[in-house]
Amino acid sequence: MTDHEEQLREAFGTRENDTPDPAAVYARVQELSQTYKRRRRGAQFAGGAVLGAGLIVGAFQAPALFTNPSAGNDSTIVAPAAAPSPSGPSDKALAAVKAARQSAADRPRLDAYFAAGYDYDDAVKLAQAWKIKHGEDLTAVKAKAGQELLDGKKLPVQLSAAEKAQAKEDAALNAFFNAGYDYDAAKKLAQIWKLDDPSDAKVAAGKKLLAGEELPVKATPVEQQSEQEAKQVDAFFAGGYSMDDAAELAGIWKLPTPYDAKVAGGEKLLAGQALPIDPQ
Amino acid sequence: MARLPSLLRYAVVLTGDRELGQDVVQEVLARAQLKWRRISEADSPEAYVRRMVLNEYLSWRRSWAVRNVHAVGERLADLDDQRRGVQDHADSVVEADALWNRLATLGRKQRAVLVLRYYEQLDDNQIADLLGCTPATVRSHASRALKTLRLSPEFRTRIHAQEKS
Repeated sequence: MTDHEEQLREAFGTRENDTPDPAAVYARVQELSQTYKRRRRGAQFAGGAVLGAGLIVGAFQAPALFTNPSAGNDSTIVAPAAAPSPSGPSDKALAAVKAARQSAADRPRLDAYFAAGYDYDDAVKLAQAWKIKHGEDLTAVKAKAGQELLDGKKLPVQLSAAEKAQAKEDAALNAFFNAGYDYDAAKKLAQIWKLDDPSDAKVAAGKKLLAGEELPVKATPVEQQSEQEAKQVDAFFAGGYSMDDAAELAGIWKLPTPYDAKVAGGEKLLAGQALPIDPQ
Repeated sequence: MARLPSLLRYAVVLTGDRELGQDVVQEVLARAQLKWRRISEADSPEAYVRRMVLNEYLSWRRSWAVRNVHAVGERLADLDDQRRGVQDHADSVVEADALWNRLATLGRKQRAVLVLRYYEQLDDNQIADLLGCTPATVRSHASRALKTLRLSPEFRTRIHAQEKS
């Protein structure tokens, strides 16, 4: 175990047991769930039992937690897995293709948004400034803002000079790590460039990479591969598919792991192909 | 099987704040009830709920609470810096406490990466899967976080060098 691992575990240990009273949490969950149930008109939650007393003292098991969940469930919340359709992809599967491709199209916009130094809280402010009504998901607001930035326009929410400087440093660090470099590479670069601190080498190297320059140290090809895979995995989840869907697809496609199914599924979605199952 | 006390410990460590941890868990469990059938069909319902807690924390809308924690963390971290100058041999409990305060100065994703790595003991690929980013981005978050916390190898090397000189 490294020094910092041990230190961090000790630090987490200082507060991990300073938890709220489980009974109070339980009571509040009941209140909240009643509110949510009222909000979801037509979403008839089956049974009256919710979080059981077992949860408070320790364990809860799914069947004990909610009784008879199959009766009267809202199909928009709990949709059973669809069997492969012989007559072609279902509407859900086609919608998944659309969502995955939209997400892939938004990716450079979102990258531009975050690379400029904006974050979730700024998206809330932007939604207010643009009078966009939003729910939990602000992706569309961030994507719109990212597109404006790519078009060279100014956003109605401005960052401070310090936030901009931090964003530049973050972008350089991201470029460094996303290109497949690591701490050992930073040490070598620091030696070559005669820098005292490998952290400075990471930032300097990232800036060179962003400027299209080559570094005197080679990156590992595995990392470059993982970036491509990450896009495919992103597309898989953006299509609404879950970890359980990946396991099912791995079985259908006879792939060794659910992760392989996420990659393969994402690749197909990005190519405009529907998957053989609907998102759950 | 999942355990509420364990979930609450995870939420407190993740959020860095007892009340925020409580809010996040309450919100998640209330919503979990509405889709429990789907959750119960997952390979690990507990992992599913923990993932929901993580997502809730990362997208927590009542950001004033986080900012408040952040600001308090910065003030406490400053105090720790001042104290460090007069403490020759701070014991490990005090240091752990100081590090906890310093953790509050991190951004949400950076903090989440450290918690998932060192508290949940997940590897970078698993963390990347949870956060929806690449393992390289996970390392990038961790690197920046450790540097901010002054735990990065290079910082420690410099400190030791300064102490020796």
